[in-house]
Amino acid sequence: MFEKFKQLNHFTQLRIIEALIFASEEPISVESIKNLLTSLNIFEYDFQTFNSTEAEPEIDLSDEPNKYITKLIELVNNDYDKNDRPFRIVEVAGGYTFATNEKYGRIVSLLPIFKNKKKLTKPQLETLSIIAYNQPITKPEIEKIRGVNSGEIVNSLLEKNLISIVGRRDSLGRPLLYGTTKEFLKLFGLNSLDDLPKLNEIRNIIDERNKPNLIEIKIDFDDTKNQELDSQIDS
Amino acid sequence: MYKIVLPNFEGPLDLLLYFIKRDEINIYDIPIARITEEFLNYIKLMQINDIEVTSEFILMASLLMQIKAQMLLPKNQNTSETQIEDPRKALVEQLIEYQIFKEISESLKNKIELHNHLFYRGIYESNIKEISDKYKSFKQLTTWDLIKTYYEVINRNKNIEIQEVKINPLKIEEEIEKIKSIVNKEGQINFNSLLAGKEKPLIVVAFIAVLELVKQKQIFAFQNEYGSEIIIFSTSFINQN
Repeated sequence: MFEKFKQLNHFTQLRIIEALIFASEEPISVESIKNLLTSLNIFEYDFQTFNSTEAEPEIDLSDEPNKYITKLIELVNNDYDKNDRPFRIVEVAGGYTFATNEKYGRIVSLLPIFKNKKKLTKPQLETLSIIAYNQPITKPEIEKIRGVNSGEIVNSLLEKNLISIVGRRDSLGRPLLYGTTKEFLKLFGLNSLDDLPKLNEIRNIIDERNKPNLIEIKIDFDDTKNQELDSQIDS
Repeated sequence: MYKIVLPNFEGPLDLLLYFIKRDEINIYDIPIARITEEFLNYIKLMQINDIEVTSEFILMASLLMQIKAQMLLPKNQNTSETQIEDPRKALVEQLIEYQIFKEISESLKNKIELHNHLFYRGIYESNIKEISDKYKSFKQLTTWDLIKTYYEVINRNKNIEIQEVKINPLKIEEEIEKIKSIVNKEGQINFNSLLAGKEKPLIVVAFIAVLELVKQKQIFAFQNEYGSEIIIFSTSFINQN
């Protein structure tokens, strides 16, 4: 029962959430945390009460389980920020996971093993964005949009684990279908594909940019010459 | 072979968009003749610089020329104007589609930079192996590694079947002498009877021997028609008759 979990010492609640997220290889969803906490009989476990000089954090017990868990995560993060920890819990790819924060993460990016991990070439980015918006998509369809052979690029993205083969199209030749992976979401710090910029918005920007340049005509209303001109025309 | 990618252009569509942007061309009203000329000039430039002109560029060049030709054709008076589709329409649509994804990839690039600090915690089992393999140096190797490698090599060769190759000591000279004596004795002989019952290597040797004898003009080979029996005569036999 989830209600039993709520009855625990608030510090203990925070530590349990923290432990679950810490130990998960992939981002763990609020749903999974909730299911686990609901299914186990929490009082079978002996949590020694943590003696803190600080007061127990205030938690609104009336919240729905999902919102309740999200709030606990927020409190854990508050703790980290307060103590200048170099990491916090972030929401990405449909779940929660630990990640370095803005202040200290840039130092990590200097490590040789991470240096090239986040670098993508122009054609790789192009191909990736086409796949992200049109998935599942076949290689010929990608090539039709880019106007160039894209086999090598697709393979390099497969190697980087940013895309994967998601199936085959039921058409002539049964071509392979490609889609983006969780790694893709993590690289761009996205929670889901819905967080990508909207295609229609981009289309509007492009349409606006493609509009032929109209000659700008400036009319200065205070100009007395205009009035003179008018009177001349009138007469 | 070197593969040179021009820094600015990812392909023909990219190149066309460059022209359009540079000359502030209205994308919905592309001056096809001018653009086609520019495009062809660029291809020439690529060829001069020994840059491989990929099939995509050739395809685009032919498409541009096709559109140009279509636009030169007089419009049929009988069809109303709304029925005539602008021959540039499909190309323009493709260009805009490409513009959209170029724009998106630009915004994705910014997103990567924005999240440059994000390094996730995870159990990187595969990564650990990758990294350790890459950074392994000789210093870290032990005697055990040596023994292990030795056993691997030994076991690898264990299952390989060794095949003996028999060498037939065949001599063309011997075969020549043999054929010569047969032909001289019989006067004439069918080529096929020379080969009868022989194994492949022997057939080859016999054939070479016959060719050599023909070359030396010790025998003549005749054939009545294509595919029929080849008959071998001894030269002395011919001379006698």
